[in-house]
Amino acid sequence: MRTLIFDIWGEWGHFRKYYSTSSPLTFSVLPPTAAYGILGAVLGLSKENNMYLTQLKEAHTRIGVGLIHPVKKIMFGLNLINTKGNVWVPKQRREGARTQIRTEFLKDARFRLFVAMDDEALYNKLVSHIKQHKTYYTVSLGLSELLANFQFVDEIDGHWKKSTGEPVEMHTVVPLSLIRHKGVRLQPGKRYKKERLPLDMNDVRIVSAYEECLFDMNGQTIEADVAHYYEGTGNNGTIYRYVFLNERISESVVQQGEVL
Amino acid sequence: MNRSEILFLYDASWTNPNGDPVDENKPRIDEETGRNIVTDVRLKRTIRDYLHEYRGKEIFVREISDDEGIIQDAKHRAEDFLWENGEKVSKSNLKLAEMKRLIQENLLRECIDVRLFGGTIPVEKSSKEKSSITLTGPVQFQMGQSLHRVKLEYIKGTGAFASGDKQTRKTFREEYVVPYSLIAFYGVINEKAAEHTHMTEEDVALLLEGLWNGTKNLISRSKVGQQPRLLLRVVYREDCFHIGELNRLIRFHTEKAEEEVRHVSDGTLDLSLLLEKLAEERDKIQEVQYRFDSQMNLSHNLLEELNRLGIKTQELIY
Repeated sequence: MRTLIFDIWGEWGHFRKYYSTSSPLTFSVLPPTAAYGILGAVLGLSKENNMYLTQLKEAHTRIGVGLIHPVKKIMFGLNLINTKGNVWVPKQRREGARTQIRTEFLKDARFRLFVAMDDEALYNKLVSHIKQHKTYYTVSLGLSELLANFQFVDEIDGHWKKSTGEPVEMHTVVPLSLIRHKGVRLQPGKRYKKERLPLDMNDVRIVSAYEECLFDMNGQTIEADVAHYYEGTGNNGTIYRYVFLNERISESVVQQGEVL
Repeated sequence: MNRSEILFLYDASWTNPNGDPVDENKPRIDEETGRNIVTDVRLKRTIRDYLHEYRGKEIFVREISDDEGIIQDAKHRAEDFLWENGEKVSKSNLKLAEMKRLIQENLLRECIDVRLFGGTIPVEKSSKEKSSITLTGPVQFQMGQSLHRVKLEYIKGTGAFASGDKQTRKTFREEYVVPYSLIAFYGVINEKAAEHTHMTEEDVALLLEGLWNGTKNLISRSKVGQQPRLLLRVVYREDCFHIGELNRLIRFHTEKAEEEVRHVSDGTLDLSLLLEKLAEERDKIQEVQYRFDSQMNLSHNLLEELNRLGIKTQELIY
């Protein structure tokens, strides 16, 4: 299966966590739900009625995400203006017409996306755009003003692999449910983190799957015994191993929870 | 309209370019790099205020208060735009979808800031029927950062008045400022998103003027003395293409310690990476519009270099 690999990065990023509406926090990793929007922007798919999402899902778009830079976060206050209701009108609330919200941002973030699609025409268009450094709409990391840049890395032929019982080097974050019992080979110099990420959403942008995922906060690969994954060799001989976070897995392979 | 990118540099001396409201209104500083941060929102405020106050343009995001000082909320602000053929329309005669369509049409016709920066505008027919208009702005600025480490200074002084009745002494005032900060903003103007907001080339010209003159005209106490130093707009002829991250292609070199820079002439702006990249992509570039301040030292004669590359140039004159 042809898989496009490209890097996307920016000075700032913000992927809002679902339980942090009043003091917005960000996920450490660009979630697949945000990647849909990025792919839609590159391809120029319409946002009207979430058309981009319908089209990408019809194309059976699969997305894997790897970290390249260490995860760094910074928090500062934003002075937001009143937007709705009479909540912030001074007469009723003492806070005034503006509200100050501490907001967390990713700093100097860089991710590696692995993308495959069943729709050949759409996929080829994506590859051609990324290779030529072209984007239809402006791409950003989570919020429109957090501008992003991107670069083609490789295009590989990925093959489906089953665990041999030994940990292998993985280039994407891995859902815990795919990691086999005691399957993580801990290495010095890495900062392991698991984070509950939104992996997929439906046509009306309601998240349909959350899962705990494992990665290294320093932005390096991790070694894990993964139930199944894809493997392919790049142009310079690099062997890439990755999982698509939003891929629906029919066979339930492993027990959940216990990792180490 | 074509894709273009903006690079804008301005500086601030002994002022607070952008205070953090939840951190004692201190200038925003990235503790890791020591650089000064200015939000895109601050820059857009500068542009909006200039366009509204100096050029008489209607803008959506402004504070309108009634006689009692109560500021209008966005929902009611949106309803300012509920009219057809010059007549105010009552929302009770309209369906929610019609209301949205009318408001959006009028907003885009009237408000230059919505055409430039987009907006999320709440629309409410009744407490049960509500929706919003969401428009992505064709013009997006990243948060700006200083090109060097800055120092934070804490200044105290006396105020002119007492804090209350029967006091014999005046109040103290205290504030944080940066002695100097040369700030770079980078932005993209997307011609595809421009179709959705009906943004025109004329709007962009006003935007650029707002960047330059608006920064000069900031006369609030905490912003006075800010100077625009360099404005570049790279316009592309190649569809869907832009270089990206122009702010990363410039460097500010100084012989002083970075925190000790006090004036733009204390250093040189190194354009070599930028010129290299422009040379590489010259076939895709239609023209470069520019304006720079004469006090700024540039590593290259920008005009000569661009001419040598065969890139058309145009000076922005205000």
